[in-house]
Amino acid sequence: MAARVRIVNRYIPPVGGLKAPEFWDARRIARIRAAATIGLEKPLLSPVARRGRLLDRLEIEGLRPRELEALAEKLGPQGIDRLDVDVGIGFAGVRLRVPVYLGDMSFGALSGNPNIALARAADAAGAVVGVGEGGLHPEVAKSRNIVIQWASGRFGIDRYMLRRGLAVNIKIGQGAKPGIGGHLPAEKVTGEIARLRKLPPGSEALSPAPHHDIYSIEDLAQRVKMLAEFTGKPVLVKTAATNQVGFVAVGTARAGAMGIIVDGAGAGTGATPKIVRDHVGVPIDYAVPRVHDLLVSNGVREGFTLIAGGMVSAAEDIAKLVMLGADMAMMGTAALIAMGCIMCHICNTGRCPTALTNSLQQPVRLDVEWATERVTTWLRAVERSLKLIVYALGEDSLARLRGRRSLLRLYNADEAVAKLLGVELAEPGEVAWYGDPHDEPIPREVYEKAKTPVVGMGGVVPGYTTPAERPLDLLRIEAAQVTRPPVDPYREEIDIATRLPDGTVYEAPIVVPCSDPALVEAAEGLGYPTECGLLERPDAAAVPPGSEPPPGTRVVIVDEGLRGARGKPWLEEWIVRLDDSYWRDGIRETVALVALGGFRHSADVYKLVALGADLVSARRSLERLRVKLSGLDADRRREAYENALIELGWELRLLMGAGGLTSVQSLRGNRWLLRSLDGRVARMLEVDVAGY
Amino acid sequence: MCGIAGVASLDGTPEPIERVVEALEAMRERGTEHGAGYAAYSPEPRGLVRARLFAAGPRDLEEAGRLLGPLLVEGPRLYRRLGHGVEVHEALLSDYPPPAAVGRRIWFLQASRFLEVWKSIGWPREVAEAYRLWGRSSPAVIGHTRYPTNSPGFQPWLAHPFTAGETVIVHNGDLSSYGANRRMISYSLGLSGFTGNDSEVIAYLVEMLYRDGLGPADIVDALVYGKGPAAARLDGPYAVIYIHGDPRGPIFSAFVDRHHFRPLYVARTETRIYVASEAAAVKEMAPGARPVMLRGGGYIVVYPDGEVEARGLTAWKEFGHPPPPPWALDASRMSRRELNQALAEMLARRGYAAAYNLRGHRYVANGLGPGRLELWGTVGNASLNLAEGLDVKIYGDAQEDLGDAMTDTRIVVYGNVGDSAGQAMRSGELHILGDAGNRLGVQMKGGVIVVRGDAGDYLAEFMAGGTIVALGRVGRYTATGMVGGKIYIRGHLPVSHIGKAPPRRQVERYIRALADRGEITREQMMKALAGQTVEELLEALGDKFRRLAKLWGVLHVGYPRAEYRYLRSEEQEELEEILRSHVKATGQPLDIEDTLNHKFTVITSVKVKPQDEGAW
Repeated sequence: MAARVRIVNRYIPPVGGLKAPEFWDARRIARIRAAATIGLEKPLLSPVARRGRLLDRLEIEGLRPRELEALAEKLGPQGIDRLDVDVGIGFAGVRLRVPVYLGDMSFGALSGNPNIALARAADAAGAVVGVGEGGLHPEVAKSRNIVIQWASGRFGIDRYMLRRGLAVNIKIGQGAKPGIGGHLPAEKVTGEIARLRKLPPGSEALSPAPHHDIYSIEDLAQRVKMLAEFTGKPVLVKTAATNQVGFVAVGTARAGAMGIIVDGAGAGTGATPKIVRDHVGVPIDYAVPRVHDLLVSNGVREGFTLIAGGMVSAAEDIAKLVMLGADMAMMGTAALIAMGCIMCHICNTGRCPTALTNSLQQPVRLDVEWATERVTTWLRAVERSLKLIVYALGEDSLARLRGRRSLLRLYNADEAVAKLLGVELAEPGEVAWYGDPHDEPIPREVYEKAKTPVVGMGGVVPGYTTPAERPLDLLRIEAAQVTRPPVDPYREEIDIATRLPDGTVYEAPIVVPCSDPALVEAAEGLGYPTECGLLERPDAAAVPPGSEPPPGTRVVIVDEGLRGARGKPWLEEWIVRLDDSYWRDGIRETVALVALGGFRHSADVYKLVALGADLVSARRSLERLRVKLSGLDADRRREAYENALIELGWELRLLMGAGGLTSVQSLRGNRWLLRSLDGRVARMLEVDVAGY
Repeated sequence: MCGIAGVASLDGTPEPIERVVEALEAMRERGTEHGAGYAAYSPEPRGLVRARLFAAGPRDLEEAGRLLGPLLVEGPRLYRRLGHGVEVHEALLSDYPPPAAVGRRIWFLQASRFLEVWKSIGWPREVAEAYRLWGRSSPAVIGHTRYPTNSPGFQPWLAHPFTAGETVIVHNGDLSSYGANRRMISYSLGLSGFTGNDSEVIAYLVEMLYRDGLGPADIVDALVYGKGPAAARLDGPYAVIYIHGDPRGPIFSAFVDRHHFRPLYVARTETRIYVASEAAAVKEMAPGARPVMLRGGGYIVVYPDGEVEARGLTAWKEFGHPPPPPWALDASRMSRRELNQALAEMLARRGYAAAYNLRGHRYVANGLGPGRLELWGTVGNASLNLAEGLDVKIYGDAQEDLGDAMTDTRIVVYGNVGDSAGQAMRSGELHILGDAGNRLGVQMKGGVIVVRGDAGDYLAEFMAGGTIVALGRVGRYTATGMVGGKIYIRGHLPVSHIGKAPPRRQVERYIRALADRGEITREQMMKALAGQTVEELLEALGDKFRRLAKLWGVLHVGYPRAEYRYLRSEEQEELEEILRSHVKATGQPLDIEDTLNHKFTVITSVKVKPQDEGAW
């Protein structure tokens, strides 16, 4: 009883519209679809935005959108093609027409036909495509411009496959989930996927978070040299954008690699823990300038290819990234959109309605010819836009624009961020984009199964592509990439038990409000601290942010509920001040610092502990859960609370593991692990600006 | 990041510094030309503090004069010129400079009564030459070759070693705890300036802990096991060698993080302890000595009186090796490329290749096969990766990542193997007669591994298929993340060493809470509290275990189930076949019948299916 297979060969309306707070909104999707249909990007240049990515706040000096549009109109596609402007790049011995590396999407993550379409389009349009970690699909293997991946799980790898393609890419990490491993569940390891990955059908396919032979830069150098000598081909390294990535790039260059792919926060993926996607790693526009600078100052820039990825949507983004210091761009999500992606974020379920990331059991198939045509046309459009931009700037090749930051002007950001970019600040402002709290419902899997929410695709960086609620949101959590290994919390120990100076041990630094007896019971059963329990201690005192506790207080509780959350100073700011003053007074080791506020998830807990708190309440998420559960009997409520608390613990471990931390002891006061997207917030919370 | 080496004298006789230079030069692969350095125990004859600092111009010297003025006994005078306008100046002081002086625009090379430190940009040999170290010797010497990753590579003060008072360290790794450590140090010592190199904090922490009266073993407890001040705990990868200057002589020590993310090898002779990142480098210092591994969380200390204290060293074992055939290649004068090319040609021509005097050559025979291969010496990192159809004998030790992703290849090692041997191997056999490092058989997908000696932690992590037979002792976190395959461990491996479980304290608390609420009976509670394994808890708690299971997180993906028992007949058959093949391949006798009649810890992977019934 074979189900009828539906062939997907047209675009369907995107999900989000303009109201969904994410980067890939209806406007960007429409622009890519138009480009993939008519072969020209419209508009060519977006107006400078007041918020969003730094790329969106950057203006290319001397380019007037209207004039450029008029020029495009006048020349027409054929005229643009005839312009004597080179936007291509030499890549592993071939000349690419367009400086685009189509992101590493494996067969398995995508459903086969999209992989074929990407590979054919890369050949046709003169781009290059990474095949991801899933073995080599026989149809993809027929293409020339492919890059083979060497990843931690070694799936599908053998000595023959490694010698295919233009180059080998050592995948250390990706922007959507820096420091996180992968898991293809047994039920998806079937048929062709199992065969190509060289796995027994029905086996669990785990990709460890680190390569277990790469725990440091010299280990990476070893693998770079090994693969270069083994394959005789150039070797690339792909890593998520972190604050140390510049040094990693220098080390990678010294090892003799041909280049590095730096994948920024907000990048797409088939599946990532939501908490990691939203809070770990830095956006690509923060990373590229410093990577370029460090490569230059260490004398290894020439001949080394810097590929920038993560929310790169159009030719104008590529041009700006090149001016900031990159050589080419990696694009994944944009290519999927060209093939019909509607941004429904359910890639991880295997039920993709547009036949891109669907499991092979689903009765939909992407039309390979149609998709190849779309991606080819879109790449041609990107090439044309780049040609126009380079031409309008009076240059004859994109390569000559590399690192030309004098051509860029930054709007609505602060001096610290402008300094990081090395770009003139045209109009001061703040990067941080504050808005109304966007309360998301607690997913059922959290309180029913204690499962960490997993989503597909990227596009979300709080305070940057979506509104932030408070300064804390502007902080990015550092991930371990190359210089040290991330730690898998499910298989290796990450100790989140927290010891107070008096010897009390709590199983997590997560404080639970006492608003429901069932919640208190759940907390006590699991060994989590409760707000009322802490307040009852004789040595405790609660104060609002901005107030000093009475002298001799040993459990200092700072409660923003005593004052209203939005007053000044912010709770996070006050925690920083108190922590500093206790260190200065030499009493830090004798005081417990507790932050009670409207915190939502474990990223808040992580950040506050790293800023200096011992214990942090996750008040708001648990309050919302209480409302949701009202009406249920106490037993069921308690179990739901237990699940939510356990899940918060797992999230915290995931975030710590991503940064290579194995104990909360090493997290407390470790502000080095935090960076701010906004200069003012950086000063307020005594952390560095992202990218440093 | 990098390669480190050190030597300590047990009888007080000095060792040439050159020895350490040679060890570092043997590990060039671990370093770059962007920094190297040395330190030695060398008391200032008059008991003064020997301060040496980098100066990049007259302003630095003025500043130094101003900061050190009140303490100045002699100098400052030019000590060495390092090129690029950087000089090292020396001043003799009556006491240690105040912490505020350290790291404020001026970078100190040292300020110490008992130590001397030399470091700069360059390869190890170049730095030794720049400081004219030839002919110098000391009872304790350490050295470092640098592969920079978290700070620029062109400033000499960012090279190792790093000093604080009477402590000088070399470090290989990258601390995730850096921010927390730095914060504590800056407030405790009143320090404001740091180089930005994470390794520096280790010197300060060790020095602080000595000043607090701790001994070397207590210091390891504080730094490695978190049993001291919270912010003194180190996290992330580290292998450290340090010297602490003491009036009685040097305290020399080395330690490794608990996960063994960074390697250290140790050799002991009558009069010396040698330590280095690679076995081949240890052999460079002590050609006759046999290097052993320092396990995760292990340490070694040499006290001023020559007494040695160690935890976590693997055993010293000797294996007889036959002589190489007369036509075998002498690898000692070959680069790794030359060696590999010659081996490939030999294999192609006659299907049989052999080489001796391997000195840590890397990538040996990667992707080669089919054919027969014999190697004598120390096989370097990432060798026999992706081999297909090779039959290999290694007479000596193999370093890290041997046989990664190999297929249909049989390797016999008459010696020890480093970490991650047999990673992701698909088929074939790996026989290890000595000890194995951590993560033996990590994400193994098929084939057989037999280890006669001891195996480290994380044996068979993420194992997906195949069979591992361990006849010696086995470390912690065995089979964590295992999703397939089978492990036979001769003798009893405690439950605490298998897989990963939530904190016992939390599990017991939860069981008591269940009983307090009347959700389980007292009997069930007692039974559950006595239960150690998932199976025992499942049996005691029945359906209620479903809730506790969430503390494990991934029981539904797979976890190791261990049984300590006599083998079943079909298991005896399987094992007998493996062991016969092992004896045949290795030529090493083994009483197979006796072995099969031992009790084994048999580990397989099982799942706890999530149950959908119940409250939700």
